[in-house]
Amino acid sequence: MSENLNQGLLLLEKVLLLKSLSIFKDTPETTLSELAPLMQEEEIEKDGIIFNENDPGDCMYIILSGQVQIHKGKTDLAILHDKEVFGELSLLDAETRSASATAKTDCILYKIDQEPFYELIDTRPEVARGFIKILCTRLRQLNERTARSN
Amino acid sequence: MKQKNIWLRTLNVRTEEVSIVKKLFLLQFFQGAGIAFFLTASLTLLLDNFEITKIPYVFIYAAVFLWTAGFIYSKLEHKFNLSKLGLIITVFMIVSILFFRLAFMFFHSSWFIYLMLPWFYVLYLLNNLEFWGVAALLFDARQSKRLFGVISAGDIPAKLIGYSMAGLAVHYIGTINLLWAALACMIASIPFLVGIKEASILHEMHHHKDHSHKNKHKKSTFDVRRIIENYSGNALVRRLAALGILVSGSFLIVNFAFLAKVKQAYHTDVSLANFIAFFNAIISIIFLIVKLIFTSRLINKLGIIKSLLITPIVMLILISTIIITQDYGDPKMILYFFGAAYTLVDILRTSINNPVFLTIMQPLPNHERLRAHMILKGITDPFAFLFSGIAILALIQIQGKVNLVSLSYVLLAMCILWFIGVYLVNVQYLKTIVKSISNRFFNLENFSVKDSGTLEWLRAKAKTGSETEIINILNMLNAENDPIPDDLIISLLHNPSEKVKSFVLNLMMEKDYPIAAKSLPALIKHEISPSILARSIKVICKNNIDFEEVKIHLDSSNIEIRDAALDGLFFYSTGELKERAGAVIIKLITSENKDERLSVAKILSQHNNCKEEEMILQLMNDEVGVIRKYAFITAGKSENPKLLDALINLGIKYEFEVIEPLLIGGDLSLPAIYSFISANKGSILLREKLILLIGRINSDNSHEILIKLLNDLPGEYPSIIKAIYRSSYVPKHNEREAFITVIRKMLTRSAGIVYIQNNIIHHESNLQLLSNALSLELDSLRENLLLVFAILYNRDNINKVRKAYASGNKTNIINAMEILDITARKDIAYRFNLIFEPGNIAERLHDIQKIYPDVVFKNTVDLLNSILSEEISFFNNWTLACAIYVSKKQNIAADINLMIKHQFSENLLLKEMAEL
Repeated sequence: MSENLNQGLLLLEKVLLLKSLSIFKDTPETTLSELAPLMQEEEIEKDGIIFNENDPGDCMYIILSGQVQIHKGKTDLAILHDKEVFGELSLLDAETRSASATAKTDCILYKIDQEPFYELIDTRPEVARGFIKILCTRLRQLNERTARSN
Repeated sequence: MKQKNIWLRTLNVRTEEVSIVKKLFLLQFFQGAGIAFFLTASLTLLLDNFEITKIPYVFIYAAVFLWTAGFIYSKLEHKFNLSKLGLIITVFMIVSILFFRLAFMFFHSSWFIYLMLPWFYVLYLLNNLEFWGVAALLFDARQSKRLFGVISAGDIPAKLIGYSMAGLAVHYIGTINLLWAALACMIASIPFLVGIKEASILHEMHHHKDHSHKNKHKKSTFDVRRIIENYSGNALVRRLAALGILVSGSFLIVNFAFLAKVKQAYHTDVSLANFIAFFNAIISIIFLIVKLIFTSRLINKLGIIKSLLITPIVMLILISTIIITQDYGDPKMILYFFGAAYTLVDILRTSINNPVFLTIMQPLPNHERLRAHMILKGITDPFAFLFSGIAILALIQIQGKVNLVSLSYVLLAMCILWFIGVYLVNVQYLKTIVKSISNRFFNLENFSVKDSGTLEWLRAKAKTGSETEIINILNMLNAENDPIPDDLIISLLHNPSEKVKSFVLNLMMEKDYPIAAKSLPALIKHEISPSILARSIKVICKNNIDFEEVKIHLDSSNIEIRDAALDGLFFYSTGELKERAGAVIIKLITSENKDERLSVAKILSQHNNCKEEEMILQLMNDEVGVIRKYAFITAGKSENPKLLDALINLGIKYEFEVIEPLLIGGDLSLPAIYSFISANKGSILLREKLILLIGRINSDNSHEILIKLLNDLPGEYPSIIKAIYRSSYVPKHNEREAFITVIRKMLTRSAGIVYIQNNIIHHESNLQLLSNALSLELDSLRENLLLVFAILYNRDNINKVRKAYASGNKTNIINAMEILDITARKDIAYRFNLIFEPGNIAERLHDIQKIYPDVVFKNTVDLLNSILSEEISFFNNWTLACAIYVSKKQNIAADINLMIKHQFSENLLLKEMAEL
């Protein structure tokens, strides 16, 4: 099986990877199994640029292994590790990237492009429903945080 | 039994609601009768023991009492749940009646007689608050709409019987002892209240969260500051409240004058009680007749403003007659006139004014409407008591006696104020309509314009309003059955706004306006907008008015205008003109230029029942997607089985593109869809969408096909059940058994999955992945079972159960299981609850084994094989893929043949696992 990561993940393992991400933890595997075929593997060498600030955003990334540095110019904003996601809102809108992403170590990433994702939600409304649910949860959390800080 | 069902259907009460509706009806009946006895006794004793000059004080005390009682109620509302509060209030009413009765035994002073009438108003208020509070708790919004009319009707026979009984009983038991009768009636209501309380516990448990949440934010109904804030917020509400005070105030003054005359005419307590009781009984009968027969008809016929004027006009006539005849008339005659005024004002304000007030509030947004109800309920009566009490008192103080002539002049002045008030309310009402139209927050379903006055006004407004206002008004008028007047259509065709003109022309395409259409040829000579010109051409052709005028546009360089001319001439003209248009169309359809083919596809798609079969087939196979899209729509509208058949078969290639056109085809698409699904053509996803489409067609034929599929294709249960649930299908008696069979099968499968899960727990291998997949299977089975329950039983209740399971909250689920227990068939609900109860599987396995024979798995291989085989069939692809994955990952030698067969699966994930 896919013990050797270089061989790439099986679709089922991709589903399990998605399920292990915090944003998809409440999404049923049956829905994620529709999303898994859209995941494309990308290997990025250390210091390789994944995207630059102000690039048009049209995909999201999942880190299978390695570390990714999110930064604005020379200012570091975050270091992301295995099973973390970035650029997920770009699946839904086409805003420019608000920061740059660079591989801090050699990385294996999975990328999901906006276009096939749109095609998928055209035929599988439950995927769109799952995403709407995720966005609602985030919005609610944000509202609660704002209310608390006020 | 049949007889009973007819009654239930007539009253719109469902079988499961009978018990609670009966209890509420009887509660209202006994309490209503008790209050009628109390009023007869209190009014009689007051008139018998006190001078009429004391009545204004009664009104002032009533105002204070009402405010206080309302205020205390709103405080208690926060402390107790409504069913408990109902019981507290009833006990309080009983104690207060008992107190008054005992006061006669133990006190020689008569001060309590003086307080009895104001107390009657308190009892009346408390009874209303308690009853509607409990009723609102027991029923949801949908039930309320159906049932409130029936249960509130308990009040009318109660009053009728209560007053009649009081009139008869007073001869034998005396006035004071009528209080015992009141007490007995109130006590008789307790068992029903207790019954309601028990029934409501479950409901409250279910809604506990909601209620506590609501209570946290709810402001007191009788919070003065809040009422004043609300009162000043909206001009319509302000004017309605002021008019409400005027109406109630006028009624109280007429009431006072009438009582003065009654006191003059009757001198013993028994004769007084007799008169009061029978008089009120007669009012109840008239009220019932007016409400049932005249109210809605009168309001519809006269319109809002005229309906509101009925009461002041009647009062004006009667009061004028009293003033004119007072010097010549028989004193008994004056009594009758005041009696008539009292009766008519009471009946008219309750049966006409109040419903009209509710209608006037309709254009307000929901929250404003609620405020308006609250203000009218909470503010008008106490203020009316206060103002009328002070006014009468002032008059008596100034003149030193009760002068009914002066009082009549006051009433005349109030009539005039009433007219002004109605005028001001009407002005504000119309302004509110305009505002709501401009804001577009009205809902045509709730907001229907029926009275001729408002309609007339809307038509006038449509000529002068803004673009948005005109379009919204046209929308409203178009929703009514009568066509929009031609003069309005013609004037709007001259409107400078292109948007308005387009809208009007669209209306003319939709419905027939032949007179207005005749004005179009002259109009288009000066029209510069291609879009308006094209629309006008279509309307002209549709009305067969002037084809020669249209012909010149066939050569237009503007494609929109050319296409409109082609469309009009090809479909509506005859002879040479039709042939000429046809030749152009054929030229376009064979063109290499896709825009020209698209033009034809668009033209054809605008017509139902298009006969151009060859043209449509050619366009359906066009390589350009957008041309196909229009051709598919045309095929859907064609009513042609050959085209519909071709359409569904193109679904194999173009998948979901065919769904909406097939929906347009409606019933006629059904045979083609059924053969397609039965022949197992197309992808799983397409078949699923087609099954759901059958449900969306939602006709008797589509329901029949779904039932047939339910029997033929058990593998498609989830989508078939979803399709039936989403349609308006109601199973006939002989069809219910098919659903029960489906439920049984699904319950057996669910029990089988529970066994597998239980075995997984006991196996040494790590099968967590499989266990999670099986939990998803169970969730899906549970949801499908609940959908079948919703088809068979009370849908609202079952949806509450679904929501509770979706919330994942254990307490909610336990309550939901109780709801299911009282909603679905006992044995089925029991089995469902047994399988889907949250908690440890092992704990309930013993009970499940009693119903479903246990499945024994010798080892993990056996278990995996049972999933992969068809013995416990219909697992979803994810579960099958997980079973294969577990088998391969952990080297568990499950039957290879059971895995290989999935190599041809449509599902990528399962296929990949099988091929591994």
